[in-house]
Amino acid sequence: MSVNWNDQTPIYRQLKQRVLGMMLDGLLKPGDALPSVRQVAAEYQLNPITVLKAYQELVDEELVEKRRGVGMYMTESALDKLLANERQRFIEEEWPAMLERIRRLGLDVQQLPGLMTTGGDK
Amino acid sequence: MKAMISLLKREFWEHKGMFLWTPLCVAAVIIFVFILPFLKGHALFGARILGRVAKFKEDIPRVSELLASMYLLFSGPLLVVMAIIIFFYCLGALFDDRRDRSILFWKSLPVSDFQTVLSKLITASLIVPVIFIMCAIAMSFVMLMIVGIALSSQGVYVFQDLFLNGKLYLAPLQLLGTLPVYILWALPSIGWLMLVSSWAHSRVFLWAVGIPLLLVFLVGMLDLLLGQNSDMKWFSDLIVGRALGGVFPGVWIEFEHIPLTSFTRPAGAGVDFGKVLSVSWQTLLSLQLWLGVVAAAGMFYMTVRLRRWREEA
Amino acid sequence: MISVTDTVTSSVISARSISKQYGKQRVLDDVSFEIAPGRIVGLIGPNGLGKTTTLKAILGLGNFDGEMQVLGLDPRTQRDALMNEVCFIADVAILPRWIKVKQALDFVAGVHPKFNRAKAEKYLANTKLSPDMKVKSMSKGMVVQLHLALIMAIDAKLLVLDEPTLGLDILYRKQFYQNLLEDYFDENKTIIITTHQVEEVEHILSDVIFIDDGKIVLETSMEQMAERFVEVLVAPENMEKALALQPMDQRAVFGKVVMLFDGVAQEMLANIGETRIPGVVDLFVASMKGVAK
Repeated sequence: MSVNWNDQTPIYRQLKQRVLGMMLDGLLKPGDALPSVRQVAAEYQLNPITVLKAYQELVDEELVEKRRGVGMYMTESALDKLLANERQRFIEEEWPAMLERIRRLGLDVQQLPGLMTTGGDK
Repeated sequence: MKAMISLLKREFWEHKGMFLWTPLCVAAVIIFVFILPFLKGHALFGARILGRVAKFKEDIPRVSELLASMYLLFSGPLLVVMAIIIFFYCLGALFDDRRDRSILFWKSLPVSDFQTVLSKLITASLIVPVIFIMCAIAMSFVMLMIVGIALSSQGVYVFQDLFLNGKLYLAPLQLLGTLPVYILWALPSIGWLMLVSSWAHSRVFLWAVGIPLLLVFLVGMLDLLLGQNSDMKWFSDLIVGRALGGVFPGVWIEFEHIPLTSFTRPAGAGVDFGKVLSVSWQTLLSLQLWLGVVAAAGMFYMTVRLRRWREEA
Repeated sequence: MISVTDTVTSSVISARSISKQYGKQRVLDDVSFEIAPGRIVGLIGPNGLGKTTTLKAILGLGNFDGEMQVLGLDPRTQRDALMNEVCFIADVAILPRWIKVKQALDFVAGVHPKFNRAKAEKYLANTKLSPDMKVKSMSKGMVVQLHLALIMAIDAKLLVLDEPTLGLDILYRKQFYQNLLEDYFDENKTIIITTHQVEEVEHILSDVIFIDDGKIVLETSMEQMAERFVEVLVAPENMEKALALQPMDQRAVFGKVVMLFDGVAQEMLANIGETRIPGVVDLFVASMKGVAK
């Protein structure tokens, strides 16, 4: 897999973001096994230590658990935790920033709901 | 032990052309050239020989005796080829893989330099001679059969006496029996050639032959200047001969000044391989043989050291 | 009783004051480094200025001054024992041209106690190599596949790779490292790589050693490197502030100024421009310039 890693953040953190992305998108479901460190290292051409670091942070945040002798698994509560974290981040950081931008552009907040259904369906 | 067998196999695989196809092809060519005159239709040469042969009818026992005891002499040319092959094998043995850098592959494996050099020594002194001798014996036998058939076509029926003659079967064994003697006399040459092979950065042949010849030349000049003392010249000639010529089978006859009559029987009926064997083994009493072996051991030691530390060519 | 040497012998390679002279040229000048187990180390430097000589010293292929221990053995005096635990690929195309795949397998099986023939054959099954193929009729990429199959079937503790992918297609190169990471490497093994294609292995490395002119210019783990060195895209109005922080190096990229800082706090640098992690190549070039000064 050829990925273009950016040079702003450390690779391990970018890798972690990818895993989080997979969790949010439902590609990884609670109880699923994460691919082994070895497999990820080989596929992304990374040092195993880098992969381990990413996984370790996920373990520290209780999104992933280590099952002895079997491997790394997404915890049952991971999705909930993740959604809660992401929602909070959206509410506390991204939404205020968005509001600021709307204000700066001189857009009328009242007219925006009408735009919600256009330009993309979810 | 297992490693040594792998090493010997590798030498054979690498030089299969030299060690197997060459003797077989040369033998085939010799047989072909030999058989030509005897074929009907080759009136020129064949008819003359066959004509003369007819008178042997009276003396079949003597003819078959001669044939049985001497047929192995047909081996001669093939054994000369063998010497040349061994000569060039030794020159390339420790040089070729330095030149194409494949030595870095061999050195990446847990095989000691001693084992490596030893395997090449064994190949040059034992494996190759055995292969060539076996081919030579087979070739000589085929040529003997051709002669037998040719004679029989003229009424000289030798086959019965031939196959009942013990010498027919003994001669190959006696020839093989000279192998240890060959090896001992060949060691200084093999040692010298392999030493140059492990040392030279290029043009191995030039170094291997050039240094001894230079020595002979210089000693010759010195000899001329000093007017006398031919001992020095004799000595340097001997060294050069032992260094370059040892691979030729039978050189001990030259070095030990053995008269060729030692190999013939009193009745004068050709070469006696039993005598060849015993006279050859007697050379083991020679001091110069063992001095040569000691020198070869010294050269072997230096070769191993050079193999260990010498950089690629 | 624990002695001082105990901590040292756990290093895979321990080099102290290694020097080597070729005639008048001092090819290696007082080189010292330690390599811990489980690491993938990149040996980076210009050609002919110490890289290959260092590798040869580690493998016992040449004489040198100084002290060196590789897996607890001295490569100068215990080379034969060392070769049981070390494998190396000394750049592409050193496999003998006359050898067949089958013969190579036979030979290594016959001389190497740690060779697993079944494993090698398993790797070869995924390639287009057949037992009777001779090396001289193979493409470069196929030769590397054969060599790699042999290496990966040997349970060695140290693997030394000197420009292993030189001259290979991108496909073979990627496959090379993928195989290495997937099937071979583990925390008990150590790999040393020298390569010109630094970008290719940049993320695979755990440590780098820069060698220039026979000396070690920089020796660091990738983690430390990320913490210690920062590259900044300096906004024009912050030039004076930036220079006051004493950058290690400065260069121009598309008309903008990029500065490299060593050991300066991230927060301070965030003020003068956009920060990013320097690439190994840029760091190397900057370090070399430093030596030249």
